[in-house]
Amino acid sequence: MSVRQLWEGTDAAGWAQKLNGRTKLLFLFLFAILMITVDNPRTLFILFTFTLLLHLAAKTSIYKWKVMAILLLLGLWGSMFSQALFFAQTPRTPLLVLIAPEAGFIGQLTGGLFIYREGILYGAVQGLRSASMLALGLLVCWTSDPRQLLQALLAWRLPPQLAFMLVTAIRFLPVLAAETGEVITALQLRSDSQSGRTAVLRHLPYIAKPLLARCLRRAQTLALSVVSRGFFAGGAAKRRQQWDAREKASCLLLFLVVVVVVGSKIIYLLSEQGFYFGVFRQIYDWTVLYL
Amino acid sequence: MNKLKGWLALVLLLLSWCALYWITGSRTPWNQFHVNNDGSGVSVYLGDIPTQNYDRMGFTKAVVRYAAEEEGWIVGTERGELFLFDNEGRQKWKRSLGIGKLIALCLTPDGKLAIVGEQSAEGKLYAVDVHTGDIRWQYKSADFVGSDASQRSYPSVVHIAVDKENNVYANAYRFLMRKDGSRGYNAKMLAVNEEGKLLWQFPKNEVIDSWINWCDVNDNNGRAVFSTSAYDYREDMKYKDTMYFLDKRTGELLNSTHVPPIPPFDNTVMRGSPNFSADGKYLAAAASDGRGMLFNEAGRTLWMRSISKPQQVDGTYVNASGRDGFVTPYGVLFTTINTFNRENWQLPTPVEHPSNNSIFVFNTDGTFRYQYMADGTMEEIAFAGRLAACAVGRNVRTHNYKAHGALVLDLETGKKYSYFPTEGPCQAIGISPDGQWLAGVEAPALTPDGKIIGAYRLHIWKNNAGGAK
Repeated sequence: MSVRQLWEGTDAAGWAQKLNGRTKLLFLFLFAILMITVDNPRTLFILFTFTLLLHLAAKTSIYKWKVMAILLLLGLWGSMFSQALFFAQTPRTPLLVLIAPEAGFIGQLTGGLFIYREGILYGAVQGLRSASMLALGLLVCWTSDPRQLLQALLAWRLPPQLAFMLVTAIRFLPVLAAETGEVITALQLRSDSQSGRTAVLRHLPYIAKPLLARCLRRAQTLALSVVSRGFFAGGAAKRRQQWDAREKASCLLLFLVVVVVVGSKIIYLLSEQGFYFGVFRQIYDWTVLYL
Repeated sequence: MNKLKGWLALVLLLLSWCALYWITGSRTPWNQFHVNNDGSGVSVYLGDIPTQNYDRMGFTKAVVRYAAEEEGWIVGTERGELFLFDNEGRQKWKRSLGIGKLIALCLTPDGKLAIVGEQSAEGKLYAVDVHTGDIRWQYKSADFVGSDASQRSYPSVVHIAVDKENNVYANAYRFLMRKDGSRGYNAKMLAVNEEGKLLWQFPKNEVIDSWINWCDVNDNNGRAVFSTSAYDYREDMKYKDTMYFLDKRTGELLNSTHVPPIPPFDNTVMRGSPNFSADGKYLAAAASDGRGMLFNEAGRTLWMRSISKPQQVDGTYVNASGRDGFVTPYGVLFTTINTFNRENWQLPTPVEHPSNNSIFVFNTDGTFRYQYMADGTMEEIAFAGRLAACAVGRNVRTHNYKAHGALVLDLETGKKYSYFPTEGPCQAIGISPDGQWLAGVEAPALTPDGKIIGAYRLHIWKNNAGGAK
């Protein structure tokens, strides 16, 4: 699979590709709100699992799964390790002593280095938030044609110029990745040493110029194409895709869930500030236990 | 090789998913192989508070009581938050009562109202519905004893007692250090019924010019009593006596008792007593000068025992103040706290007083039964049948950090029944009426060598008492 294919929605299951762009964008937006609002580790874990299940249902290819796994692992464990080491809140319980405070100069300098129990959990919570959004973002990216997203943005009466720029920016990422790959391959082939034929890092400082030149060329072609087709003459906004009623209902349902979750959280936070009402006790309990 | 790396990433993702399932669950990996037989029980973090120096006099506070109706624990914190937890440590409700410190808590006999006293600029007295957490009524003690923010003289509801008719009796008090160095006290005792109607206040048209810390009430003798706690004694003070007895229905003064001081003290001070016996015939009190006393219901002295006599060592008096006094079916109980230097409590003492950190139990005829000495101050005592649960806090003399925890004594035998250690000092304790459940609040402390021990958390322990009655 080429670098470009990796970032394009070409091999997803039919239902995922057919979904309206509005559904996908709304789902992404509402899910992001949920991720920010929810603090309960187990609920976040369930939401994360849900995003992985969506990938399974969308039949994400094994190659893409591998790439996603690497990205998720880096985010999750990076967050957990860093928080486990540098967790600054209280209480914090050392699980493991890496450098004892009494261990000579390094011990005195660092004041000891520990793996904190509470830090692992805190890191997991933060990691799950970013991992869930990454997984869902990749799902949208891998199952969507940029035209879908463009039409969705136009349907929401976003100015065509703005919508086009936004989608072009998203669309350009895989193109940019593919171009970078090609430039690096060219630099490797031009290398005069055996090690240079396989190295990547050493060529990185030299990719900027050719990449910029290619980008400018593409941008010029794109601009000509858009103008010659009369994209901004009003035609774009008229070509609207029908939004399926079931999808609308699903979005509405998710919206209601998010409203309930955010509302519960706000009511609970207000109770902590003194605006406490006994009739909301079930909501407080529910919020503490699950949100 | 690249193919293998890809598959390895997938396997690692699967393993990570399993690890996350584990970590985010209630039984976290570090507890998975932990056998819960060391008394560690359940612990719940109560939020961030400033960590006090270990040797500080006024230390971190908290209050905890068992709410039988809800089968859980009402907990009040220094952050002004009131919680209801069940026995598994799950929060049933939590409400913030403001920015004050919650320092007094009492449940009405029917278990429906929690009466909470706070220390703040307004020093509020709250009645909170135990089931819902709603505030039923509230009073500002500042309206009775005043408040002076410029002098940092804030009112507090320092102690609360309730009678069987759910009437509430509370001591409101504020302390003032004047510019000339003299101390001023403004205090009042308030009585409020369960609907929140102010029944009476004592005194009616003035304030008590002494420190009042403790009060009690009894249905059988119809009396309410409060003790004075000011160390300094001036001839011009109006309320110079040690205890004042009031009619609990009207708030009228029935009589007062003056307990003459003993050298080297200028005044007889009671900080954690007196308390009536259940039948109302007796009244037990411990004085800071180290005396334990039993009075009749009108305050006439029946007997007096020296439980920790101030000792002169190297020219200074060393004493272990008496604090609590209770009359239980298993004897009259007094407690003493850490050893202190009479000249200045922060100064070191050459030795520990032999009677410090102890419980002394006497028969009602005054015969000595036993002494039980703990390794730290017993900050609070709660009773369940023949069991006495003690919150063992700091020992500022020995800095024995292993002393902290919840100690349960069998009052019949005077022996340790069970013990649940905590890392930081245990500052508050509660026990269920059947003695099966125990809850204590641990506080963080900054040791003299700069180390923080403990955290502000609630512990709930299964006491396995059985036969507490």
